[in-house]
This record gives sequence, structure tokens and C-alpha cells, in this order.
Amino acid sequence: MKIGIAGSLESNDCLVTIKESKEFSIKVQSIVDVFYHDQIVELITSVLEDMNIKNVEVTLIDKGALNYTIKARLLTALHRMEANHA
Amino acid sequence: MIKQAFLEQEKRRIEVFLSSFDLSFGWEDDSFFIEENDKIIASISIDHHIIKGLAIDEEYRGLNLAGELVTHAIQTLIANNIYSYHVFTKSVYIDIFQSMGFRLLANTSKVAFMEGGAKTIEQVIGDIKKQVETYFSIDLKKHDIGCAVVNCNPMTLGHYQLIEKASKEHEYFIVFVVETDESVFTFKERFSLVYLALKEFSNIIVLPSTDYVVSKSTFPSYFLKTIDERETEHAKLDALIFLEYFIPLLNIRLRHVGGETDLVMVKYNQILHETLQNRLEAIERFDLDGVTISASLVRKLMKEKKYEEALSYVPKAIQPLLKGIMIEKNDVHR
Repeated sequence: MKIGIAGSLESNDCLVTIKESKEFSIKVQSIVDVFYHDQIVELITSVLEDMNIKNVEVTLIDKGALNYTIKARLLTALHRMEANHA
Repeated sequence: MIKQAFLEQEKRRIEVFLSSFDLSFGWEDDSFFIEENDKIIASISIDHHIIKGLAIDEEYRGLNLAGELVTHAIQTLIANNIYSYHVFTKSVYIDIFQSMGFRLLANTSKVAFMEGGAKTIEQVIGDIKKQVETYFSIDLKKHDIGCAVVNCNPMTLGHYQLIEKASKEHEYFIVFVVETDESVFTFKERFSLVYLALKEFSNIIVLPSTDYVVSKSTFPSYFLKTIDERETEHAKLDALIFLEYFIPLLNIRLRHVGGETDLVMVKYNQILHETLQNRLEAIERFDLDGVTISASLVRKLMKEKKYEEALSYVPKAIQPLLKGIMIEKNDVHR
């Protein structure tokens, strides 16, 4: 199973888990879910689309990260997934 | 800053800190702590894939120290290539863990068992389901399924007769062999012996018990052989998980248990009975010429090197293999 994890659960950060999966899915849990849930999902979708990645399951636990933090964490997790053949 | 406890003195300090929260401390665990002015203010421990012992000093709440510690714990697990993990926590911390993406599996109102990471309990049990369905080429939902969870340390005629009797009450029967390796006989040895002994029955499948039934994660006292109030709660968790996930997902009608003499097991069976109620069936122990057959008796005879006598209490099919294993074990112990 290929899996990549990046980030932390500290304030203003997020923990991203990406693993290979037959079905595409994005799960987001955020402390600002009420305001930004859809925006975060949109951001993840666009990053994955840009990189042309489809068969993954993304889980993101957000502790109030800014957009570019989320993007950076996501990219790192993706790279780690590619590097990891556990 | 998070530090790992390496020194005995540090571990002792964490033990004292945890005891003020009525939490137990495991000396074998990897423990991490945060201190201020030489005083421990927060700690967390990892035991294989289990996160436990999270405690934060009242005065330092609201600083998200829990987030810091849990992140560190997860990163440590990932560094060890562990991507699915479980949490043992007091029920009051459920919210904290949920806010960090963990999912609640069972809660006794005192302690809770949660999961996080790559694999969910539904996926694990789903895999078992597929395995059973392919093995028998059946649809589980359409049949009467029974099961037993056994440690078989080692397999005896008692186990054999219990499973034989129980399996006759069902169309198909699943035998889960406890996977945690904390017994005299290793999991591989126990599993092979059970598999070999039950091979003759076409309606029985032998499977590993997973991390969810009588494992170190759900029921540590099974392996410690002592039981106190705290451990009783763990046994309840174990029973709850079986009730809420295994029974419905695998369509199990009855779980069978043998009569027990050991104190921990009597207590465990009692809790199973309270939780599973009519889903549990107890079967009396079998006697052979007036001797109650038990795995502990076989182990005792093994230690005394009375191999032939020991083998008279186990099924024929496994006698040659068990003899070899026993001799090997005694050689190592010398």
C-alpha cells in the first residue's frame, strides 16, 4: 500500500494523509469547517487535478492552516506517497 | 519541547505523573513528555501501534499540548512504518481525539477505544468476510455462522472437543486464533497446530484474531493474568467491539466459549456474557478419565519433560508436530 503523510496537528497547521485507493475520495475535518470546508475541498481537488492524480484517498485534519500551508502539506504528502512503497 | 523518556528516572517520573490521573504506565512503552521548571506537564505513550497514556496538567490546558503530543506520536508511528493505529483513552478525552481525526469504536463511559490512520475496522473485518466467503464459496449473510476465539497455548483435546461440538450447531464455523504473541507458544506455532487439528472439518475455517479481539490493544490483562477494575473496563471494550462490529459484519449467530478455571478468564467470560447476552454460549470443559484437560496442564507436563503424557491430551493429528515444538522449546530454555 502506498501512503504519504505530512503536517501536524498543531495550531495553524494540518495533517494530510494520502493513500492509493480504487475510489477517489476527499475527507476534510477542520476547526473552521463551518466557513471553509468547501473551499478546502476545492483547493485539494484543484491541486490533485493539476498533478493529474486520480486514484487516491485524501484525509485532511485541519487546525486552521492557511491555503498555502494546506497546499504545501498536500504536495509533500504526495511526494512521500510516491517515494514510499511500503 | 517534547522529550522521549529513556532513563529509568524519567520513566519513574512519568509513572508518578500518570498515577495522579489514575492512568497506568508501561515500562516497555515509548513514552514522551513535556516539562516546565523540571516538572512534567504532559505525556503520551506508544505501545506498538497503540497510543495511550495521554495526560495534560490542568494548569496547562488550552495550549494544544495534546495536539503537539499526538502529532509526535503519529510521526513516531509512521517512522516505524505503522500507518494504522489505535488509541486507548479515558472517555473524557474522546472529544480531543475526535478533533484530531480519530474515530470512536467503543466506549464504556470510563475508557474508550479509537482508531486512526489508513485502515478502518470495517476494512479489516471486510477482508475476513471475503476470506471466509471465498474459502467456503458462500454468501455469509445467507448462512448460520458460529465462532470461537481461542488462544490454544497449545491446542488440546479440550479445545478440539469444544470446537467440534460448537461447530455442529452451525452451518459454518470460524475459529479465531489470538494473534498477540505473549504466550509460551508463538502465534505461528499455535495457529499451525489449530489449523492442523481442525483440517478434517470441512465447515471450519481458522483465522488470525486481528488487533480487535483479545489482542494487546483491546484486552491487555489477558496476557498479564491479573485483573483489576481498570482491566475490567478493557475487557468490556473488547466485548463491545465484538458485539458492534464482528457480530453484524460477519453475521455471527453465536460465539462459543469454554468453561474457565483461571480467574482472569472467568471474569472475561462473565463480562462477555453481560455484553453479548444471548449471542454467547458457554460449553462445559471436557474430562479425560477424570482429568480436566487444559492447556496449562499440557504446558506443565512439557516443562517436566513428560512428553508422552502431555501428548495424550492433544488431538492425534498434531501430536508429531507438537512433540517437536515441545522438545525444541525445552532445549532453548535450558
